[in-house]
Formats: sequence, C-alpha cells, structure tokens
Amino acid sequence: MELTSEQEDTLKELLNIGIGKAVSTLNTMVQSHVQMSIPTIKILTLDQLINEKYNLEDDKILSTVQISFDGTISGLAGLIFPAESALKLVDAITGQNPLNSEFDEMKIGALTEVGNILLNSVMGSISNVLKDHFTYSIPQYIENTVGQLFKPNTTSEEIILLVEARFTVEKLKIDGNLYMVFEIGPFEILVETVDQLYKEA
Amino acid sequence: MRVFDGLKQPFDILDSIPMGAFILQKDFIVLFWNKQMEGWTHFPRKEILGTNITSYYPHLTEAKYLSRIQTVFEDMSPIIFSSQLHKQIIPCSSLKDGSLQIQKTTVTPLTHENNGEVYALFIVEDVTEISRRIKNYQEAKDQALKKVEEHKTTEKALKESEERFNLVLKAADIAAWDWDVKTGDTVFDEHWAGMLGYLLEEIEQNVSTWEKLLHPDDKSKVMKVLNRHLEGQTPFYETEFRMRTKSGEWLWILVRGKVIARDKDGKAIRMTGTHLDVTDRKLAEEALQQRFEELAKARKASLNMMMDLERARDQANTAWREAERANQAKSEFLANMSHEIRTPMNAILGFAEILTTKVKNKENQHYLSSIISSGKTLLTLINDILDLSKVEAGKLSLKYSVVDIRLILKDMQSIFSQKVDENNVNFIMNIDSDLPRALLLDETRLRQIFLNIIGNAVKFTESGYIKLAVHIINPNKDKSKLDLKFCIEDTGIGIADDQKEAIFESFKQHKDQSHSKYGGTGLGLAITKRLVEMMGGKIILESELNKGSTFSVIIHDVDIPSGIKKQKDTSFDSSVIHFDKAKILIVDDISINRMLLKGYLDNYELTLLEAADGKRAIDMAKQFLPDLILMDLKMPVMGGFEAAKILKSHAETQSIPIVIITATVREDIEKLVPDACDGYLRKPTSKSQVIQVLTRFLSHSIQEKTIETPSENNLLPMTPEIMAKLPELITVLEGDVTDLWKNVSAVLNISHIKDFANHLMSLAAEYQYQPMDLWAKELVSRADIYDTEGITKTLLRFPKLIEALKASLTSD
Repeated sequence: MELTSEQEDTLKELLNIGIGKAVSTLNTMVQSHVQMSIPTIKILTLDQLINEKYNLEDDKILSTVQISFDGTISGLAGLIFPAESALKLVDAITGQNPLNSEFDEMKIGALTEVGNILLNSVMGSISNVLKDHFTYSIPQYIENTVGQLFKPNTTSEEIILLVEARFTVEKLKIDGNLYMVFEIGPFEILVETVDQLYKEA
Repeated sequence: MRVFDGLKQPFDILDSIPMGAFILQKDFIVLFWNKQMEGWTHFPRKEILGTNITSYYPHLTEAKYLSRIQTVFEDMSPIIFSSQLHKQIIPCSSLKDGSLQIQKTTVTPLTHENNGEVYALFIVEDVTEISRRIKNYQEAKDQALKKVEEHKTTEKALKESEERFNLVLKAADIAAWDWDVKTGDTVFDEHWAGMLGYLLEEIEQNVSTWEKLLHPDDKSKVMKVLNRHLEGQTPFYETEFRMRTKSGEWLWILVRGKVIARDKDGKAIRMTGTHLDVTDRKLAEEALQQRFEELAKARKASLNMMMDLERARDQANTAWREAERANQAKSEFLANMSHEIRTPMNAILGFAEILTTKVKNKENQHYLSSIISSGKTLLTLINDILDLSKVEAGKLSLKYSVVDIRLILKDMQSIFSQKVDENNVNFIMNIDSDLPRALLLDETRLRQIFLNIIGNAVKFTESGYIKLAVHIINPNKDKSKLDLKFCIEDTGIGIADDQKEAIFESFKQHKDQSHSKYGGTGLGLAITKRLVEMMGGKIILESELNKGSTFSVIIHDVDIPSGIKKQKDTSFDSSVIHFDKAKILIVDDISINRMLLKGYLDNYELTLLEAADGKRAIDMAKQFLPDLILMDLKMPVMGGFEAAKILKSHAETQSIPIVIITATVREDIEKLVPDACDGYLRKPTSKSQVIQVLTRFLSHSIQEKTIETPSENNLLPMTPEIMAKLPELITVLEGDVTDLWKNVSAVLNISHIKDFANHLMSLAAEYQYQPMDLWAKELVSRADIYDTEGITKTLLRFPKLIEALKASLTSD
C-alpha cells in the first residue's frame, strides 16, 4: 500500500503532535532537555521491515517497550531502541554518568516509563483523530529481535507503520535514534480518517 | 474492564494483594485505599475515603504527576511511574530503617459499567529492597571493574616500563652484569660480551673474565674503588677503566654498580651493575683537555694584552679628557682674552703712534718705531690666533662685497714677483676668459687665502714655476651663480703623504720645514682651510715629495651681482682729511682710552669733550650740544646703549650722531647698533678708522695727493727719455731713500712702511720706473695685512731693486 504525499504529510503531522506532547511531558520529569526531530514515516509490510532492516539488525536483541491496543482499530505499538541509544537516553534523563552503565532493573523501569509516555502520546493523538477510546495494555519491556516483536499470528503481509525519530540532549552532547512501529488493523481506517482530516483542513 | 459486577464491596479483593492499591475518581477524590496503603501510610481507609488525595499528597498536583494521571482519565491509557524517575509516588517510611520507600507505580483506568465514569487504579510496589540490592551490586561491580581496570593499567605500565628499560639499555649501549660475590659466578648479558667483541658463549660467566680483560694499569685503582664499596664505605660503585676487546683494542668502560644483598655480617653477597663504552667520550675529553689548556694559555695571554690595552685606553682617555679640557680652556681663554688683549694693545700702539709725531730725538724715535713695529707684529700674531679661534668658535663672519678677482691676482703677482724672479721661478697666470669682473666675495679673506697659499708656494719653490689658474667649473649653472676653482701649482719641495693632512692643522708646520729657514707661525694653512670652508668651499692638496704641490680651492655658488659696481677703494688715507671746526664728546670710563682718542684727533681743528659715564655724557651733551659723540658701551653708572637711547629720545640731543666704540666680540652688535646709534668701531681702533668714521658725520675737505698710478698691466717699454732720467733716480734711491729704508726696516712701523712705499711709488711715477712701483705695491699689500714676515723679506730686496735698476742701464 502506498500513501499519497498528502496522506503522508497528514500522518506525519499527527505523529509529530503526539511526539511533541510526549517530549514536553518528558521534560517536566527530567533535568536534561530532550529534543526530538520531526519523524520520518514508512509504510511497510512486516517482511519488508524484517528484510530491509532500516538500521534495525534482526539478529540483534533490541530493547523494546510495547503496548497493545484495541478499539476502532487494534494492534500493537512498539518503541524500539538500538541498545546504545536506549542507554544514552536513559542515562540522559536520569542524570547518571553514561559510562560504565548497565541495563539493570531500574533502568528498564525508566525506559518503560519513557516508552509509556511516547506511545501513549502518539496513540492519544491517533485516538483523538479517530474520535475513539482505545483499550490499552500496560506497557511491557521486552528484549527481542525485530521479527519476534509482533504477535505470533501476525502475517508477513501485515502493514506496519515505521516511525523513525532522532533525539538529542544538547546539554550532554548525546543523540540517538528511536523507532516506533505500529501494527494497525485495519490500516485503511486510519488512512481514510487521515484523508478526511486533510479534506476538512 | 467491568470490575463492578456483583460485588458489594467491589474493591475489597485489593486488600488481599501484597501491594499498595488505591483508586481515584477523576476529581482526585479517593474512592478506595487498601490495607497495604493503610499499613504503609498509617492513614486509615475511613479517614481518607471521600477526600481529595492532593490534600494529603500535594506533590501530585505537580505537572509531572498531574498531566500524566490526567491522561489515564482522558485517554484511558495505563501509565507507569518508574522508581528510577520518581523514587516514590506516595511517600512512606520503609519498615527497615525509616528511610523512604522506593516505589514502582502502575496506574490503569477502570470504567464504570453503567455510567461510563473512569477511575484510576494505582498499584504501588515497594521496590526498596530490590533497588538497594541492585545499587549494591552496581557499586560492587563498579568497584571490581575499577580494580580490574587499575590492575590492567598497572600491568600494562609494568610491561611498558620493562620494555622501555630494555630498550633504553639497548639504545644506550649499556651492558649489564650480576655478580655473586661469594662464588664469583657472574651473569654477563649479551651486550656485555658484544661490547668487547665476544659472543656470549665465548666468555666464561665468572668475575675472572672481567679481571682478565681489565687493563693492568687500571687494576689497582679499580680494585680500591670496588673494595671500598664492597665494605660499604660508598653508596655506589662507579669508576672508569680500560678493557681489552677480542681484537686487542682497549675500550674505556664506565662501570656503575651497587651491592644489592649483604649477609647479616654486612658482607656483600650479590652485586649488579652496568658497563658503558665511553671510549669516544674519553678520547674527546682528552682532546678537549688539550685544547682547553691551549685555550687557557691563549686566553691568559690575551687577557694580559687586554689589560695592557685597557690601561693604555684609560691613559689615552685621561689624556684625551685633559686635552679636551685644555682645549676648552684655551678657547674660553682666547674668547675672554681677545678683549683684554686688544684693549692694551690698542693703547700701546695708539700712544706709540701719537708719540711718533711728538718725539724728535732720533734715538728715541728709533725706540718708538721698535715698539710700534714689535707691537704690530704681536698684534698680527694675535689676530691670526684670534682669527683661528674665532673661526673655530664659529664667531667669524664673512663680509661680502663686489670683488674683481683679476685685480687681486695681479696684486698677488706683483707682491711675489721679486722673490720669484730671484729664484728663477716662472710665475704663470692662467685666468679663465669668461671669469666675470665682479663677483660677490669677502675680499679680505680671499686675499688672506691667496697670500697664504701663494706665499707657501713661493717659499718652498726654488726653481721651476708657480702656476696660478682660475677656472669656472660649473658654467652651465644659473647665471646668477658660478663655481670657482683656483689652482696654485708649484714645483717646490712637495709634501709627503703622511704630512698632507697635518699641514692643515693648527700650529703644525711641514715636518722638514726648518723654522729658521722658512719661518711662519704655522697657522696660515689652518686658517686658510677654515676660511675656504666658511665660504662653502673646499681645499684639495695634491703633492709629491720633491716634485711639487697643487693646492686647489673650490668655492661653490659664488654670486654674480647684477649691476657691476666699481670696487670700493678700501685704502683710506687719514692724512688727507681736513675737518671743519667741530665739537666731539668722548665718553669712556677708562681715561687711557679717552686719551688715545684725543691723541688721534689732536692735530685737527676739533674741540674735544670728555665724559666718564653715560649719565655724565647726557649732561654734557645737553650742555654743549656736540657735533658727534664717541661712546664706549660698558661703563659704570650708565652704559653706552642706555645713554644713547636717552639722548635719542630728547629733542635737543636727538640729532647728535653717536658712534659706539666697543671691545665686545659679539657678532650681533651690528644688529643692535643701528637702532640706537649711528655707527660703531671695534677696539682696538686705529687712527685712520676713527677719522674715516668721523668723515661720515662731520663736514670736511680732502686734500688730494697727486700720484699718478702706473698702468696695472705689463711693464711698459722703457723709452730713451725714461732711461735718461734713471741715473738720477739711482742717486735719490741710494741717498735719502736708503736712509729711510734702513730706518723703516729697523723699526717695522706699518704706517712708516706705507709712507715709505707711497714715497717710492711717487718716485716710481715721477721717473716712470715700473719695477719699483710694483715692489712698493707689494710692500703696501703686505703692510695692509700685517704680513711682517713678508714685509721683512720685501724690504730686504730693496738693494736688489737698485742693482736691477743699475743692471738695466748697463745692459742697454
């Protein structure tokens, strides 16, 4: 499935609103000011995601925070950090020395909360647009490969929305990438809504 | 989630979980508070239910809690407060040590089945213990890691140090040995053997190897040093000795070592050390030592020399300073004395001159003449010296007037012609035909220059020629100026190279110039050089010993006056002046000066008044209204200037001319005089100067002398008429004139000489005998510049003049 540039722009704006909200929430909690770039969006099949990798090596264990949601549309939203980026971000927001760090229980907790904030904000934006309340699962921290992130019954043809954004913490000279994957079904509903939004605007 | 179904107390189940749990309404009113919360917070459920939780925990209104909790109600999305980011959401004491719990809180939305109201369920986990353990673990791990890191660093450093040490040994060419003192077993390293040209296998690992290769001459010294260290008397063992290499050469070895183990009696057990090949250094040192000794010797010698030089320089400096002081003193003395010298000279000469007309006794007259002539000679010398010191002090100024160089040169020719003829020397004149008739020059000084240079040429040339040439060397220049070059070339004795500069110095005479033979003060050329320089010119000397000399005088930028004026007659004959009756007031505090002036003016029909100071002068001027006032400057009570000013400011005395007579040497007096006065005279004054000034202000008549001037040019041919009268002239010359000549020669009075010369000139005119006219003119020229030497010589030629006259008769 291809998105028109209007659809893509609208979707990007939608996601951007959610991320902006998440960042402002994050910055109320932490000492270091975190900035996020405007996200890039790709529509892929799961196969494409796994095969083309997009900087996510599938044989590598990734740090992910996931929530599942259910409503007009249902699916899975996941935040994926390359290990290095995850550590950097956590160390930045918890104010710890980024050297000698190890991914322990406490840090996992922090990362889960960060994921919780980001995913909730983005999903909140989407649910606002769809004028529907979703039911969410409690966010979970999972270490796994890209291919294993999704439910066992997810087919390789399933449409995946891949969002890539770059975060920077200027004060600590830290930056890194984060990815969000949304397995949304049926994806068409979202696209239709997005189209409508565009027409209304 | 539909949790409200069928339960009367729907949340009681939460009392049975081992975690804190409470439920908030959208308005933060507490709907439920489980037993665990009661236990942790000590707030009983009854009390807290129905109240707003922020009244117990106000921090929940902070944005970082509030905004997130609100998303639970709005989006119905579950949220997590992690322990890392929040520590705790509901502060309560930990059971163990009273510190605050660390909590992990999960908030999930609950929806009322009937009205769709949303509630937030908070599940609070106490993770204090697990946090502590993780923290401990983290710390322990960090420490362990740090230790491992440190160990790694140390190990690495050690390894590096060892490697470096080996490298250093190798790079520094240092060999090592390890000696078991008791057994003699010694570990020599590869380099130790290699240094001496051996392979390690070739040498026995025993101290005897070293002893065998040691130079026998060095053995006793080395052993002494070694034993002292072995006995513990020295902290290190260090010395130098020679060792034989495999190829039989001797190497210088620097050994350093130390006993590293001793037994309980203090006896050395083990000793280690190094060998370093210092042969090159040793040889260099020896060479250096040798060189150093040579240098030290040289240095000592040069030091002595320097000290001698220093001493000499000190002496020279001292001498120079003394000379400088002396010279300064001399200049000051001369400057100060010129006035003092001239004043008495003025008196001596003046009064002597006056006496000549009064003394009738012949013998006394003779004495008087001697006084005058000696005085004038002395004055000439003084003038020379003063001239020089004035030039040196920059006080002499040139007085430019319109001058015809041709006339001057002709005078020169006539002055020197006799002498030149005697010596059989040709006097050649070569004057550039373009030379203007009139040029602006200082005639007196120019004559002085010519007299000096030509005089020298004549003096030192006994055969050959003297050539006098005048060239315009820069004819293309602007027509108002030109450059002149005078060359005076002679074939005389010449001047040696080492004398060429010296002859221009003061008081120096030509080395071979015997004073008895040539005479002179030695100031002539010094003054000449300075005069030329003052005129903006230079004097160049080319000369070869025994061949001759050429003096070239170059004067730049000589002005050509626009309208050619007739040259002023500088000679002034006071005897022809006759003043009409007049009153003259003489003002001077020194009576001798007044008497002198009175003496000068005695023979005229003048009434002379005297005043001793300015004030008295004013009174007398008012009373007698003189026709002229001669005024001295420096006087007690009131000086001359002041008096002159006052006189000029009074109507009745305003028109009386005032002539200042002063001994001051200040050049700028000329600038001052015209304002207050009408003229000035500088002491010493001569009679003719005084009379000449008076003629400017007093009415007078001139009784012209009727002397026919002979034509200036070549000798006229002797006509038979002239020839006929010559015997008569001889009689006159040999009679009265010879007597006069003897008199004049004996006393050398300038005015007598001039009178004598004038007398001869009139005779020459009368008999039309030109050589005598030329001779007399030379005499006058010399008298004009007080050239006593020249005067004497010219006078001595008088008999020859007569002989020549006789000869001219007999030859024809």
